[in-house]
Amino acid sequence: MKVVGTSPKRIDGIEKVTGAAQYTGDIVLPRMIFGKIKRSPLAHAKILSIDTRKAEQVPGVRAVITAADLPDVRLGVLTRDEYLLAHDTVRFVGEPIAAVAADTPEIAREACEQMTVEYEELPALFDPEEAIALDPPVVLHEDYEEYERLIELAEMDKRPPNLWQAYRIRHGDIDAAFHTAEAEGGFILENRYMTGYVHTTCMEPRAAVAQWGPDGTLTVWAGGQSPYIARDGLSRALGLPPSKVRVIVPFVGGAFGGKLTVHEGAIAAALAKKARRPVKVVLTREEEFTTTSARTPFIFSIKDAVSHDGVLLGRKILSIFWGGAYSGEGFLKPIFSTHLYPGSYRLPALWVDSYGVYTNRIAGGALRGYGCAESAWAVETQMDIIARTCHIDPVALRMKNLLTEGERTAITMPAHAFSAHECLTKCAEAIEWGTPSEQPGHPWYRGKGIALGNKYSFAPTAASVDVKVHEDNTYELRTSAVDLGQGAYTVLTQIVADEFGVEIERVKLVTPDTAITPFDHVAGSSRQTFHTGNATRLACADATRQMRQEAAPQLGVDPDKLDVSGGRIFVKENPARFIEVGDLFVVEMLAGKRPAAVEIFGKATWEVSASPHDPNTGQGEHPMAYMGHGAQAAEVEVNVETGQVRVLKFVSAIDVGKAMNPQGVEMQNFGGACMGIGIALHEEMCFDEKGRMTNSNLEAYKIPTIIEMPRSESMQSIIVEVPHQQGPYGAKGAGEIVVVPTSPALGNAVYDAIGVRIWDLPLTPEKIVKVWQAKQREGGSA
Amino acid sequence: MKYSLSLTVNDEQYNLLVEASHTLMEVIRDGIGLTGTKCGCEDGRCGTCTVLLDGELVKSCLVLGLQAQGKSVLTIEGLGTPDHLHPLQIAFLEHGAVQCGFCTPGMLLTAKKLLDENPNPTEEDIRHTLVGNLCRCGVYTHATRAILSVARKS
Ligand code: FES
Ligand code: FES
Repeated sequence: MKVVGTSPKRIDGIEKVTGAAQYTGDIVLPRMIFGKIKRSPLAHAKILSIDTRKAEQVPGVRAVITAADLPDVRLGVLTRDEYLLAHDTVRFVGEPIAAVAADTPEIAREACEQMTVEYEELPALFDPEEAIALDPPVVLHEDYEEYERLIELAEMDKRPPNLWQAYRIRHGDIDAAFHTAEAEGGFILENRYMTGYVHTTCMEPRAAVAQWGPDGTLTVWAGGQSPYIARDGLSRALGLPPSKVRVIVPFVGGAFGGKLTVHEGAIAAALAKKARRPVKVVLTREEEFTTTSARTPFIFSIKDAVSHDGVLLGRKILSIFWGGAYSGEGFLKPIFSTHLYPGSYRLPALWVDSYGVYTNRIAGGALRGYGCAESAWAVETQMDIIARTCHIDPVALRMKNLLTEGERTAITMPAHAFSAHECLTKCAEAIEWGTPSEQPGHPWYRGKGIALGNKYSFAPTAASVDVKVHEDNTYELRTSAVDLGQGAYTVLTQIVADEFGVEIERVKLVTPDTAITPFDHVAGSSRQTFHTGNATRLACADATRQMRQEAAPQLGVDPDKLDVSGGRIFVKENPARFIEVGDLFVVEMLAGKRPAAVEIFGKATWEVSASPHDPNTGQGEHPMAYMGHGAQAAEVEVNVETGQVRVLKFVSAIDVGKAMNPQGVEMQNFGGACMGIGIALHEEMCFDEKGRMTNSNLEAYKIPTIIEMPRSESMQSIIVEVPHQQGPYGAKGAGEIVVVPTSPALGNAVYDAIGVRIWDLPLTPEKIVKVWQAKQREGGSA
Repeated sequence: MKYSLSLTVNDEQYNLLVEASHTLMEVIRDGIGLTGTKCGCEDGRCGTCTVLLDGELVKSCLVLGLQAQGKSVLTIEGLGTPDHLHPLQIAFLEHGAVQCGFCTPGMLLTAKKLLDENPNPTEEDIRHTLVGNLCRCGVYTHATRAILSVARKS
């Protein structure tokens, strides 16, 4: 019996469909009160004074805190550039300044309004290209050089004062590539692209509940992506040793990169300490939009050298990551976004300069695809343009330039489990590539588009798993890997079931709680099936080793002659000789007998190291854990009068190495398509000239509804399985690759339909009408 | 000032004292303690707080608690229990229409109302009805398939 490779019902499903699943906001503790955060209305200002007296006098208020109530430490993952509550400066609209805990959320909100903050407004800087100047009009972090930094920037003569990250790839002779293209009748293609200002928009707003124990131990419930990152963040923000912080992860209502840090948990904790009561903080939808993880834009300038017959000779990229006031959850994006470039194509020369800059906006955050979904917009649109310039079919052009298995990429690391050919081929077949769309007639035009993508999973990283064997043939899996909806709990449970050869019902799950479950890095970077999956297998192997050891004397053979399956420990050569799991535990201590086994507890840590990122060359033998591949294609219909784009058909072909749970892969494929369609076509955070977001609600910031999706029979999920030598059963992750090719696939389809390009995401009706009309004036036609 | 409110939730009678300003969502979640009804926005735009009020679909964050006086509410907890799941609950699980689960209660109640009124909906009907239930995990395709499968069986 094999459970891995099948699609059992998700193990957390019954709770979810009956309403029993408890999310952070559902938690109620005795004497619990409610916290609200006072935030900056200005994009850039000095704080002259904060007067909390009136707030403290509002009846029902139990505690008011400002930075003065907190340890004087800056937070931030790799650049410590941010305070939990602002000290003397605020740098974006929505920055937390103070917080109140009161008997009801309404009272807490009222008290925040009663607080008086005096500001001296400073000029604000919003434009990333202005921000990167050597003498910018505004410097956001005058003290940058004093900040603690855990990462090196690429060398430069002088750091532009708003720059917080710089990374380069240097491979081959880029100038020679341009010369060759020019001299030998090839092409030089240069374009500028920009991604949109989008938001994670989890249906569950961020929330936290904090409670202090009598011994000074802090417990925080927070539905985040990593209880251990949360624990370390809380420990730093509050000046507590890590062992005094316990983080419990309830059900999580989506994360997508937006729930890495726990600032509201730390604020709840500080309030709870002062009020001497448990405190719950739940962000409003507006706070979600204006202060939590946004996928802020990248600006890419790409210049390609291509031979006359479509062979890439060299690629030069300048990218600027439009960071916000702090490095935030996007702290690695300028580096990780570059991983896409060498991942799919053979590039004899690759030259990348990638920067991250501060501006007076919400910090740039993580969102599914972490940089690669953005670079794919530029690269895969560029590939389409190259194909059309060289008069080569876009699929054939890509095929021509793909890497091969084992080939060294432009960052040294060899391509492994390289499945781009297969993903592309299957995807093209499914969309009937080569068969032109039927045209419905003016004003609707149809077209097809395709794009490839890859997504690294970062390293170094580690996951530990514990497995406790119970005497009733039940196996308890303890993990800090978080199920954000992607199905991690189910997949890990499937692995345990197979490793012990039992039905999935025999596996019990203990969900993330730092007091009980061992370290796991993060539910991010498509890493849990791969890393936690490996750790789970190893922990199971550790447990079965102990079972064999304990059974050996009873069966009178060497442990290595034994095997474990289906609740039995048996002699490999004669399975009829066995004992049951329960027999291992016969405990008759009081009768003076020694128990066979007191405790069988498997433990394992899976660790993947990495070659260090060289910020000056980007070269490394093994800078990531693995690289996943996928291709997507779409058929769209564009109304050139209204600018409306309808997605008629969508195909997503991704390589997961081994589909541990095929239905789960399909759910990622369609879920990714859905999010990707929103990001490509209509999602956009808008700001006024003062840096205030003007569409911070779910009507004005439009995520896809069911209507934006193609009809259900026009959605196709294709699973490609090219095993990775390190993956558990060969598996790789599926969570992010599913949004990487989406935007360029749709953009290329729009081009195929109407013959014009839009360079900046999203492809809104206004932009489409505008480029269409410009084209009409120039006398073109579709 | 608090007002008395009598209502039936999932066939159980409740007599409560509630603030006039409190929404039905707050009454259900905080007053009664049934937290399966979710709160994704508080302004009627996400659909996670959807319940049936005297058989009609409402976004409970847009209805005042006192407006439910004497009425009967069905929340997700009343749709089915682990031992007696509603066919839609089973279909959502079988068809993979549940990811993070935050939109699930609202979506299930919307689907129930649809099938109550129209046991044989077309995909267009489903799209039209589910348009107010946002799902960031993107379960729409699977939810459509799940609802169609229940319709076919009945
Ligand atoms: S909470 Fe009621 S519609 Fe969003
Ligand atoms: S399943 Fe996550 S929001 Fe719908």
